[in-house]
Amino acid sequence: MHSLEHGAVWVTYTDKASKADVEALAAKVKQTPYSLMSPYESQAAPLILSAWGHQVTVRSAKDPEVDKFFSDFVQGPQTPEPGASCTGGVMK
Amino acid sequence: MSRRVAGWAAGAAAAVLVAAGGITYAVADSGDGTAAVKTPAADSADAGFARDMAVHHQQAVEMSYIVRDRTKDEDVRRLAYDIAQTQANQRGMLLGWLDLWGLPKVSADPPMTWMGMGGMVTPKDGSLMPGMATDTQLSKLRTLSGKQAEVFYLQLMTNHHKGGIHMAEGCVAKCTVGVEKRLAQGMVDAQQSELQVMAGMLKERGAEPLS
Repeated sequence: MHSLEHGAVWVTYTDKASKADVEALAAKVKQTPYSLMSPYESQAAPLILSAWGHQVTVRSAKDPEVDKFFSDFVQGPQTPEPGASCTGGVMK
Repeated sequence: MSRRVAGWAAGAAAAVLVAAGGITYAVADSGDGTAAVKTPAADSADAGFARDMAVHHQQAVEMSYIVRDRTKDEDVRRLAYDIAQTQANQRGMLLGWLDLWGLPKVSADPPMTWMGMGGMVTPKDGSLMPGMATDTQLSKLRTLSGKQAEVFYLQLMTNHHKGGIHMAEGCVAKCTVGVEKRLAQGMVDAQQSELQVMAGMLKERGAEPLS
């Protein structure tokens, strides 16, 4: 949660998400500072993106909503504490 | 009011208006960054350099904090302090400009696309741009102490500066926002100077840059 306060986008997935989608999103997260990813089995949809005060369900890694959410919210205007650090990444 | 004074007052008022108009005209027209600036596009060099160099700088800051905790050597700790302070401040400037321009901090394009090098370097193990250390190298730096930490830091930062200088030169060539071009030129100059300092410090420690 703390990373969201620093402007991170958090990608969460369940085992219903396809392996290809998980891998594609993991690759994107690895290359995008201020983004993280982790499994979250109890969530309602297979793939969800979250930022401080914002959330979107996406259909796949290729869903245009993915790039849009990253563009809008990675270190975006919703960030309560801009300038704070983030050494996040992909958590298994 | 006498005619002469009235005439003078009118003339002065007109002169002020002309001057104000002249100033406005110059502000609208001037492209040197000290006046009103046309907002760059997201795919411009100005925006691309701001995004990419903010990321690049952040790693230099992190590396510098790491080495300060791994050695008591005053020279290396002072150098690391300077690099951390400078690059964190500069990163703040770059991110602030993106905020003012209303532009995102990320791009779907690879880094350095704005200077015609998109996709030339494959990101690997956390090294997203030329000269950046990998996660493995940073982890190793965290385990070293004393002279070994100093040497490895100087080696990593030498590579980091070389990559940074190359990118900053790209902005000097392609950016249109004057204040940003000047910042990029400042990076080139300062980091080239620091390269020489670091080469000397490596030699003092009986070491060399990484090949």
